[in-house]
Amino acid sequence: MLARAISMLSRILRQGEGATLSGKVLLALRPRAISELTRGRRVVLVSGTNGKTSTSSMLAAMLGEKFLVGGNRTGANLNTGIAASLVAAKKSNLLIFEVDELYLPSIIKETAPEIVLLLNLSRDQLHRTQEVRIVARKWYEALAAFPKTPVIIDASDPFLASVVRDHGPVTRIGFGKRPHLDAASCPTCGAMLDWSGAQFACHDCGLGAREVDSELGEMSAVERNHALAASVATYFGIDDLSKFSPRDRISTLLLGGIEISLRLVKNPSSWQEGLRSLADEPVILVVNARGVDGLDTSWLWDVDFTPLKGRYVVIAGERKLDAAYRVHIDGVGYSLVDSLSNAAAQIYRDGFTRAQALTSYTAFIDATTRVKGKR
Amino acid sequence: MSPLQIVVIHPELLGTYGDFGNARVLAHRAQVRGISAEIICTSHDQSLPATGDIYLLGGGEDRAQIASVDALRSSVGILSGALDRGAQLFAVCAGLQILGESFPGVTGEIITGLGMVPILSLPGSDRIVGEVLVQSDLFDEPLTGFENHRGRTDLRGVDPLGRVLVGGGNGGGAIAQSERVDGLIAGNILATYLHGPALARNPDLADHLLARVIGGLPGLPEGEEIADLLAAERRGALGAAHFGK
Repeated sequence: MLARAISMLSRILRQGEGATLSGKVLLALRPRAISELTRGRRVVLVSGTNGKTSTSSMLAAMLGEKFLVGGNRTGANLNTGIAASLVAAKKSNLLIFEVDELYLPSIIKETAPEIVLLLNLSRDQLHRTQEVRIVARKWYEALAAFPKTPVIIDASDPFLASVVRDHGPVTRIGFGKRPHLDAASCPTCGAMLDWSGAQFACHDCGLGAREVDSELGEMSAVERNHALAASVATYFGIDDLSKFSPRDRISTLLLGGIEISLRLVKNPSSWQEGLRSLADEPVILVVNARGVDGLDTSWLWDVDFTPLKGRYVVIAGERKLDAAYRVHIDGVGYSLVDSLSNAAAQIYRDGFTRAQALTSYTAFIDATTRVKGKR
Repeated sequence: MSPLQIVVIHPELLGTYGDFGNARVLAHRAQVRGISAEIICTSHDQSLPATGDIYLLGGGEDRAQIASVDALRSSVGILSGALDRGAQLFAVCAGLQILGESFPGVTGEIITGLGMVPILSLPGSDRIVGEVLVQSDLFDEPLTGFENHRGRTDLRGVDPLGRVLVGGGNGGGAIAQSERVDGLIAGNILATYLHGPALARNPDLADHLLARVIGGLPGLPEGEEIADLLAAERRGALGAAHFGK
């Protein structure tokens, strides 16, 4: 009965990028569909504030060496997106799901995963997730119900260290000492964290004192995520990973005579990472504040925009004035335009052939889907 | 003349929502007027400087808020002394709550505040999250901002910053919209639930704080219009969404 409903859904609804409609329908018909369709199957869950999509796609490529991999690969990471991907993954013998931070506890419960990869945890869309400590507590509680499930974490993140503090099978991978915007105080007990040593340490509850399984030193976010994905691949017996290199979630599009590399940025840490890795080309910032972007633009003030000083900067998006005043205060010159197309047109007129855009979520989706539609 | 001192109190604890932006905006709007200004960050393990001109308290998560208030208890005298000689204190969200008699802790338990104003903050039944529009008698145009808090604050006779036209403010849904107020003004203390970089979205409020310290402010040079454009755009967007104008 369920199989027939799904196969009918597959035919009626084509799976586009970010498709969740078939998932919505499926969950409306069968609220337990995720649990039912993953029962007895091998499931990998990937969650974190940043890098879910790029990491799970790097991981899917690695595991594709040995498995027929299914799961959500386009950033649709709520229960609806996961359900939708299951509709298309009937034959897969390994399922990799990237999971939204707030949905992780329920997806752990429903899928009983074979292994969980946690990338990082920091402030993101505060109107929605409220406090990062609340998310950490919910993750802790969710893992407590699956004490035997292996978990791999970036041990340089105090929040992840706190989430797995009582969990048995944990692989801790260290990436040097990395400052954390939300971890002046201990995520576990609230005492002040000591950041003066080689690693963070809580002298009250002992968080951070654990040995890491391997220490890889400081590296960029995408390299960290690649290393974490490789650790999962090793767990599944894939030893030769030499042909896989770190890949970021960047899309390229041709617009108004120039080539634009688009990078999705959505919270202070991903913006900072994006600003760190700019090429010597004009920069377009596109800032929206629709629901999934985060309704509150206050985060702009947690980002250091001085890397843009002296560069050619164009700002677009529904909240371009918020972004403009922010970069102005950091001494960055800019011009304002109404849309990404107009940004491209201006950059083309000024004699450039390439540009790079940092865009919030809805702007990224708008740009990438619009261009696809034109082909 | 010694530079204007802007003291950011415990930025590592009370900085959940870009609150440091308030210090940047104040320093910037002084500097472009030819008034030198410096930002001094005081962490929880340092004592508060007594020489500040404008003190800033930001928002924070429950535990950070409690850690901050505990660290501040021994500095209340320094802060009150500075306010007595004309310094200003601007507090947002959690910063507003800790100034009062008490506020709710992690599980709703009562935490004793600094007692600098006689207000009481209590836990609400839900979180108030969204854009806010506040009409204050201090300014012709309404203030705008974003609020995200569970606590409700009873002013107990202290003057509010203004009347809430859109949003929750101090009281939230339990109070009729026409009765809702936001923030407080008490002597040299000004506080609001408009969180994070409230002064970035409200240049008039930033200039009000500067003027209370400096006196008459010189005009702004060219190139600073973006602040007013942003404020007007936010007022327009909120007004259009709620009053169709």
